[in-house]
Amino acid sequence: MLEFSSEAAAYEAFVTQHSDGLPVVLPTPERVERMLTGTREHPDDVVGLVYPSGNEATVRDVAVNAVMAGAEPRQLRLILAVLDAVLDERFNINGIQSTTHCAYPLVIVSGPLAFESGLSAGNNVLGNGLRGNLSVGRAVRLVLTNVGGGRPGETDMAVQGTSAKISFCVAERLDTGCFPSLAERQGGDASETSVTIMAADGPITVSDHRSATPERLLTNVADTLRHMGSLNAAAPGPAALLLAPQHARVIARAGWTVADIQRFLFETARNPLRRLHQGGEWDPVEPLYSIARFGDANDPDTLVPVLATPESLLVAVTGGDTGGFSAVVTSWPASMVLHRFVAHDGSYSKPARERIPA
Amino acid sequence: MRDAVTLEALGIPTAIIVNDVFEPIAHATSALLRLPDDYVAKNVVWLPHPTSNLTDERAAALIDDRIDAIRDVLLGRTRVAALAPAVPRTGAPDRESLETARAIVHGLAESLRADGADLVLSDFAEGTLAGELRIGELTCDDGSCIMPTDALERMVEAMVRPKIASLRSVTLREIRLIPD
Amino acid sequence: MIVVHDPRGGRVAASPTLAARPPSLAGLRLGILDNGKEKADALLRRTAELLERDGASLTFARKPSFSRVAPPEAIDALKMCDIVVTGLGG
Repeated sequence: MLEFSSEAAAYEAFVTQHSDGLPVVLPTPERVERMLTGTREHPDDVVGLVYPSGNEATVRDVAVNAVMAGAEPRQLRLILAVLDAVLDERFNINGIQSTTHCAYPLVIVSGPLAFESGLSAGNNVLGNGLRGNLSVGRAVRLVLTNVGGGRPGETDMAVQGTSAKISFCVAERLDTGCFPSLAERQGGDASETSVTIMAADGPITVSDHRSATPERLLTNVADTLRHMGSLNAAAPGPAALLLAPQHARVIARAGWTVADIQRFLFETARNPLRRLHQGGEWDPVEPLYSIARFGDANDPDTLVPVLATPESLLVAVTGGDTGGFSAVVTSWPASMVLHRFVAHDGSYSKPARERIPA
Repeated sequence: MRDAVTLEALGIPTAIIVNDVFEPIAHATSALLRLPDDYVAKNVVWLPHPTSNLTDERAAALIDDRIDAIRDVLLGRTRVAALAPAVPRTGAPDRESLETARAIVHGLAESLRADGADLVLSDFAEGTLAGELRIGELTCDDGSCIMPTDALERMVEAMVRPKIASLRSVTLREIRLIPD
Repeated sequence: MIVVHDPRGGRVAASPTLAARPPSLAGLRLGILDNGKEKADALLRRTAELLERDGASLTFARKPSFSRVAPPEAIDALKMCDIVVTGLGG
């Protein structure tokens, strides 16, 4: 426990030493006890090791940082499930915390528990104003900073980072009737809720109010997805498509499924070798993987995908109904997309099929 | 380094061999893990960067050259420079401290030069060590091989202070060398 | 006065201690932990060779994947060693 002579002194110490740069809610014993009512997990249980410090994060430690983030007790079970996945060795949080890249976990919550926990999937879901989304994302950030020791300029060498590093959490729209939810596609039923994480770049907007067919709309998406500046262009991997409901309806009305979206983008979000030789990270001498899978390495017209497989693309419907703006999120390669199912009582389990094949 | 800390805590002396380009990260990690100030000096043996392009014969020769340092770490024989006197002597004490500081950051400056930058300490007066981070044509395309200036200032301070007690702060000016 | 929880966690690793040093390397069991990229092999192999000439005996050598900390099984196996050399970055 930390002792301060006054609340002002505590405020100052916390905002300078234990925050994301913004003031935090002071984690008094009363507030932390109230936060812990949001889970049935024991406060001393270890959620995982947080790198680069390698210190253990207990359920209580997470609750402390959740209080600081401004979260409510009903969000704690989601925060714990997210951190359980983030601290999974395969996610490589050590690499993410220290890389010069802007990588940060994108969190997608899919299922009814999202809304019961105060999250929103509507307007401005990636922006400001949604307390539940921002609190969950911020709680994760604070654990990574305070328990893990990931601090800018010291152990976090991100060149620019991204504002998503403050908070990057969305919930999926379940009411559009377009596709089964991400939780259902991971093997859950309609009553179950999953959290999905991906080591992500910041989001890129795809604006489209003109396309009335899936092909035309997704050609726009493909062009954004394959941009040369992402690490996917040099090394195919996972990516996420945060699909606006308006766009989801264009696709679903034509009878397309999520698998159709994934297949189309796997085929079209590609760069010809001649383009990759003109700029960017692509190393023509030592490509990061064998091109033989996709064609002749000596043919400048060979098309190199940005997705490792069709299933590498995470698709979630999110955002308001007021227009046609979706977002594409490319990824940081030395990590893995992970999912967790969250039970109502806050306990979490891994889905039967976890690994998206490379 | 974390593995070495775990092993030392288990009672097993552990020597760490690292390329010198990682010296700044070693110090930052050491501070994060709350290791003693001289941990890096006593437990790490530096190799000149890069090593990934060495032939096996040259790699072996390099180790032959460094084996004494490795033995010193395992046997606890590594000598760490004694602290300079706290009271500055009359004459030109600041110039001496400047020379001492330059010697201390020699390895760091060398690793920066290997990447196209340079650290030049120019003045030590009234407790402030001043210098320049000169950035030329970097070997890395994304600039990631060079630490940010304020982090470098903290690094230099951490490296110099154990040996120069009168040091109060480090100020580095960043200068970009414009190619012809 | 105000008392609040420490957000860095209750179980902060205590300041680590250094192991006591042996008087000589003769008869000691040597472990090699290769955390590095290419060429770490050659460097650590030569190191082991030379330390064996000092009388140490190579008991364990391990090469896990880079940029991760050594898995618990590797640390467990290294517990049977008296001295360890680890490396190497880049």
